[in-house]
Amino acid sequence: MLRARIEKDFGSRFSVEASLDLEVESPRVTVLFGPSGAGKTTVLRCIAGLERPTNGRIAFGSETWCDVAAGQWLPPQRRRVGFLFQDYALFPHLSVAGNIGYGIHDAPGRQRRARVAELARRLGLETVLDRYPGAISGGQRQRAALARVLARRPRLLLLDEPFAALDGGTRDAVRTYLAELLAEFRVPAILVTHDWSDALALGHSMVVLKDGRILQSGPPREVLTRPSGTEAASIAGVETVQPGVGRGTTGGALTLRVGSAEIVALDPETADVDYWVCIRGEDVMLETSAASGGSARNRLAGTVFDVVWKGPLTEVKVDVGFPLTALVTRQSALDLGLGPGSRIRAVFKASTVHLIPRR
Amino acid sequence: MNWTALATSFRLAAVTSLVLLVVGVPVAYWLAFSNRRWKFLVEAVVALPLVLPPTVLGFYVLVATGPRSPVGAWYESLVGRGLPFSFEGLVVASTLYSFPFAVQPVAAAFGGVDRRLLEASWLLGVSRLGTFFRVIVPQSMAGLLTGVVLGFAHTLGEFGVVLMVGGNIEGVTRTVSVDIYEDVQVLDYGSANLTAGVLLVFSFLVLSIVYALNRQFRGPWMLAGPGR
Repeated sequence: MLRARIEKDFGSRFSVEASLDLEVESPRVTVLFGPSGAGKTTVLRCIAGLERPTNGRIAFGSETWCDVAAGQWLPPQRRRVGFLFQDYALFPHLSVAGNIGYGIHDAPGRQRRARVAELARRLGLETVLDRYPGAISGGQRQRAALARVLARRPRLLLLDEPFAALDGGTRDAVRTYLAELLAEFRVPAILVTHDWSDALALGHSMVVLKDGRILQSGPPREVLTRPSGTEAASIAGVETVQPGVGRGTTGGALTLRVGSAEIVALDPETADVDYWVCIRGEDVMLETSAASGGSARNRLAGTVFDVVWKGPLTEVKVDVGFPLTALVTRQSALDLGLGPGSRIRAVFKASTVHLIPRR
Repeated sequence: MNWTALATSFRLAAVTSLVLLVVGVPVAYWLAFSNRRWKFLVEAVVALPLVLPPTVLGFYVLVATGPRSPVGAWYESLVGRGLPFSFEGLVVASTLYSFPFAVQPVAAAFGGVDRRLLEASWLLGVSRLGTFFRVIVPQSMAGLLTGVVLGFAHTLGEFGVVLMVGGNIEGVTRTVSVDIYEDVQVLDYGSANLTAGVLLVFSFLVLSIVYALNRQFRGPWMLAGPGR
């Protein structure tokens, strides 16, 4: 168990106050989620020992890493955590092999070389071992940085926005790959991100931070679909997250079975079959008539089972074969005369359906 | 052409460079990484020799190391003779005088190393000292070289401090610059011209080599582009 109570003041303008209890006995991934400037990286750096909290205590199992009141402090060298920097921070004057072996410098030569070779093989870096970080691709740099961190068999992995430097397509591939790697090396991880799809794809649990405070925590699917309070909703809110199974593609569109309904999404062009199907409430339109005009591919008939009035917006929950939430203005909801039991048609474009591989 | 003076100058410059390296590198490290509030005071002290007339510096060194000062008395009781007008005295004075020339490029190089690399090294279990030798030094080779060579060349060319502290003792404290002054005093322009020429050519060569090496010394990783 990692228990962290962290208070960090940055002058009078900003402070971070976070309290976390994380399971680290099993290879679980905890996602620290929030917009930039929320204090996620500060929490991560305090846990790593790169930053000293103004107040608080951090304990890992029976070890105390930091206790401000008792004046205890364990330097980063002795915490045996792996930290993956956003820009990877590879040593430019060392080859890829030199970088991977950097932290196991004290090990006997043969053992060290074997470990470097093993990691290079596992992470697909064998062909670039003699190259310098400046001469390899961004993806290779990230893998080299991961190999360097894993070489020391860390007890905890801290990942600071690991996908920030990657574009959409690569991002999905690297995400899948990282999930496999974490499971294989059986190392618990804390991942900082501002992208909710990272949380859903990788996280076993999720902590939402804003302005240095924790708004909510829990399993990602729960936090995303049931944000506590409007603030958490505006950061994390994805009203509909449902498991779906791919059924086949036609013309760049993927048909999926969700509950008892079938929907169409853009083909993500991955080998996966199981997905989280994510639909934001504001992307769903509601119609009472069976008009079939328009270009939206998904037109699902259903029954309203709940209407939640939230200020100017109203959340309408419709059973279309799976529970689907639509966000409409209060006036539209009144005009449509919506209430539990109303028959309605939910309409959304295939391009608004976000698919995240599920495992 | 006074070969003895030339040899004295080179010996002085070599010993001073070595002392500068040993004393200057820790100071440069402190200047680069400390965030003490009074750091600016240390920076000002280190830079003082850049603006002070050599005679002022020499005067204070002379007073501070003389037999009437505690330091001078202690040194004399230890070694058996005083610091002023000795080669060792010259080394002390030269080190102080060339200090900013050696320390500033080294401190700038240390400060230029990406802080994330140091943090990455600590997190990989390597101590601060280990990180210094395995990350900071390899990435600061150009700065270290510049510091040592500038310290060397600056010591070679000093005049005022040498005259104040060392005097003009043939084979001990008479350096080339003092020798040229002597030649001019006795109107031996031929000899002065020759020595001055040798010093000019040598200084030019040293600086050319430093600048050329500085281009090369970014290391093989830089040839592949500016990535990290």
